[in-house]
Amino acid sequence: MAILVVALLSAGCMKLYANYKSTMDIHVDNTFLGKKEGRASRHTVLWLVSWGDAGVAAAAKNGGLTTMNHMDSEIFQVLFGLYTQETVVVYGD
Amino acid sequence: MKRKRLAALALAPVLLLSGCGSLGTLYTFRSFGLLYTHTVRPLSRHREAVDVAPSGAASGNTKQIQVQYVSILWDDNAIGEIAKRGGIETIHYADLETRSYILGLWTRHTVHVYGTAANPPAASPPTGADAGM
Repeated sequence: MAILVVALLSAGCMKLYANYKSTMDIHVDNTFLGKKEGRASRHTVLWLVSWGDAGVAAAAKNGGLTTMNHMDSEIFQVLFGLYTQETVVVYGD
Repeated sequence: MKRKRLAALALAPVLLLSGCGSLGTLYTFRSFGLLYTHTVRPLSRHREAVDVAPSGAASGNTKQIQVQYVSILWDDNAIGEIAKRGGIETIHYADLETRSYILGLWTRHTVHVYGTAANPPAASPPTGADAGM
């Protein structure tokens, strides 16, 4: 029980269920989004194991981008972090 | 006893919800595996269109050993220092790689910096066959 409490507290940001998108780049003055989109994710299971490359470089590579114009993020979480997936979405050409 | 319970109840939401922002959630979202973590996430917020196939890349890391509240931390992962050491003239963006084991007993934070190299590698000289030798 104590381990569970520690896990819940250290996870930082927990929701019963979450599936939403959020922006990372708030500088959107005349931003041309571009035609390509790249994604990269990292995952956490049972608050115990966390893995995955969700870096900008990986997202751009996955989408075949050479120029990056904007960044967003996606969060999917169930049962207070029993499973969490965080995805970086980059837009560009 | 009752006051302690009330205090704990009041504190719990603060602890549980701390770090949750609507903007740039990935920066405040602290997913962490208690036993094992090996993740990469963006370190820089994007401001303008940048080249994602830069000519220069360099990295640096800090290491930390922590047992409960006592920790030892050494080395550096400052973006400026890494860029300087790696010969990067213009920084485009940076990622943060985290490796951590067993409740943070051993943690390594590596910053990867991407940008334009001060002296981009020159084109490889022609081989003997190309040069007609």
